[in-house]
Amino acid sequence: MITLNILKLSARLTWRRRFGAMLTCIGVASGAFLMTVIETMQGTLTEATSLKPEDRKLVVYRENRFCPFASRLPDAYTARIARVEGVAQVIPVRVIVNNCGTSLGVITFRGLPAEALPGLKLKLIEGSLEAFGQRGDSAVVGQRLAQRYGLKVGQSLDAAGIRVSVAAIVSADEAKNEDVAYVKLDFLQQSTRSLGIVTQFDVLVKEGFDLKVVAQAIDTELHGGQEPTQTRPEKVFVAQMARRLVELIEFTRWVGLAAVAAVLAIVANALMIEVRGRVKLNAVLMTLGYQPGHIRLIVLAEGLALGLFGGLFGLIAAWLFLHFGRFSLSTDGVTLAFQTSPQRLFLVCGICSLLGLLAAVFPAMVAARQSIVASLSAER
Amino acid sequence: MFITCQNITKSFKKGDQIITPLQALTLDLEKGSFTALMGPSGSGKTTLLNLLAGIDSPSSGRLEVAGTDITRLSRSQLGAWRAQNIGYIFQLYHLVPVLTAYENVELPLLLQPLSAAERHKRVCTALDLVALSDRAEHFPRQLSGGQEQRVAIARAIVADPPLLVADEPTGDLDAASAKAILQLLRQLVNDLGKTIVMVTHDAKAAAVADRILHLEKGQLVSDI
Ligand SMILES: Nc1ncnc2c1ncn2[C@@H]1O[C@H](COP(=O)(O)OP(=O)(O)OP(=O)(O)O)[C@@H](O)[C@H]1O
Ligand SMILES: [Mg+2]
Repeated sequence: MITLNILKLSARLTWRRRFGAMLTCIGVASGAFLMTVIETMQGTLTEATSLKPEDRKLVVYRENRFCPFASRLPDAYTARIARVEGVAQVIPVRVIVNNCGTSLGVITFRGLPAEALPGLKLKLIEGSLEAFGQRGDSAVVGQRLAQRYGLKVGQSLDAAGIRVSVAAIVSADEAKNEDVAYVKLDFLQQSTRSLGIVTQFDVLVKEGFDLKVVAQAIDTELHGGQEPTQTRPEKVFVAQMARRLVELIEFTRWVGLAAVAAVLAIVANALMIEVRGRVKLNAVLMTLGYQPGHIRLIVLAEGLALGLFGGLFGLIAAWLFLHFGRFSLSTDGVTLAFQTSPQRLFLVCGICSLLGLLAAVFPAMVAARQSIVASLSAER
Repeated sequence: MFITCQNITKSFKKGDQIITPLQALTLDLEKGSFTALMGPSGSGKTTLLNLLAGIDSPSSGRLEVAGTDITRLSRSQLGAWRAQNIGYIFQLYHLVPVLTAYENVELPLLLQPLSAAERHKRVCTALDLVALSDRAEHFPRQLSGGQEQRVAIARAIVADPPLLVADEPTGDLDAASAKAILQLLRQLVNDLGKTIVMVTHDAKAAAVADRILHLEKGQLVSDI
């Protein structure tokens, strides 16, 4: 009960100097913003490249592929892959991107047979999916792509020498599948003068079969064909292709560390100034019977509050930034869509609170150690 | 005896110089007495008051206040002891500027296991006693010096400690406000049985006390 009273007093003292506290919070928020964005980038990369036991997806590419343009495989492989033991489903896919380098906001066209569309589990937001089968140049556009370029149903999208009309806007279970325009395979093949040619085959493996074994079996089956293939779990390809991104994102780790250090320094500095300014207040409180532990508690609680609220502001800002900015980074036809998760937001909030508390330890000790008599007669 | 000082000495080290503001002082004070402490500047009045209030410790000697040998207590124990036994009234009031009069008076009660309702009742009673109920929501800067000192007195008595110490409580006030404060202190002794030790430079102020002690160079020179 007494502890609670003292926590309330700490909150009251902080609230009464909320202008200064707000400035500190803004500093912490900037750090938390950086931390959230960086955590999200790293988390997205990890999720996109680390294989999980429940992953069932294989991708068949032409050997030595480094960009979708370079992978050319015949349509006719579809039936041969489907015959391999353990294969549940094969979708021939033609991928066209408007930029193969590393960049933000690449437009990806994914051509696939009309009958494969329902299997992608896309959720309709606007427009109609029926048009997809009927009109050749109709496209189903993922919402991230649509929002980035302000696309509406009925408008046309023109990129990489391909012109499609937007029939529907959809959401998907994975953010990267929302960064794509789905078009009919034969239309894409015609537009790029590559009839009968696809970029890759998306293969779904049956439950209970080992991904590696099935991949090996597919490559062996197609070994005699005119185009040698390389089959891997989707995420392994992503990891290969995204190597440059990995380097780029690894580098941001240092920025994240700097953000952590900045938060520590900002809170510690603010509290040191606060504690110096409160020498007399603390001496008066101690005269009234407050014990060194109580004084420590007041300062620690203040540090925690600054960290917590600053962290909250920062991650709300970061969430808005990532959610409405819909950023994605692409390289070699592989796209990472940055989307943050509640766990990550909790993590950043926790880190900031902890940093606030940590930053308060030294000021709290200084405040509790001061001599009452000397402080009462001090100038300030 | 309510307060027993036996041979208490207090010295400070300042560089390689040792200052001894109190020299082997022996003094007894009765419960319910009102004592004025006088003497020239630097004679050790504040130092003695701080020892009695347990915010400083003597270098040697025995000091018993309200039945406790306070020289044996740790810093934390002293804090807890002060919360129960001491009300300190400063010359410059030392109210917390960011807290209202009400919140200032409430401060000592936050250290006690009281319900919010009980706390409210006690704060109101204390503010009533100093006739400032109508100023409860005002901040110190919105009060006059005399009113600030009355809030400080309410804060000193709200936890009902037996001993009040006051260091020149009227030193910064005009004659009228000073008179009101002195009357209030007298009333606390008469009606509530508080024991008060008050430092003052003013003979008129000292006149409200039952007993006047003169300190000079850390020693008791007269006792009236
Ligand atoms: N913390 C300290 N460190 C060093 N010397 C001190 C300290 N506190 C008091 N003194 C010295 O002790 C002596 C007595 O001081 P004290 O404050 O008790 O005097 P006082 O009688 O209250 O004087 P005044 O009437 O001016 O308030 C002074 O010489 C003072 O300089
Ligand atoms: Mg003095």
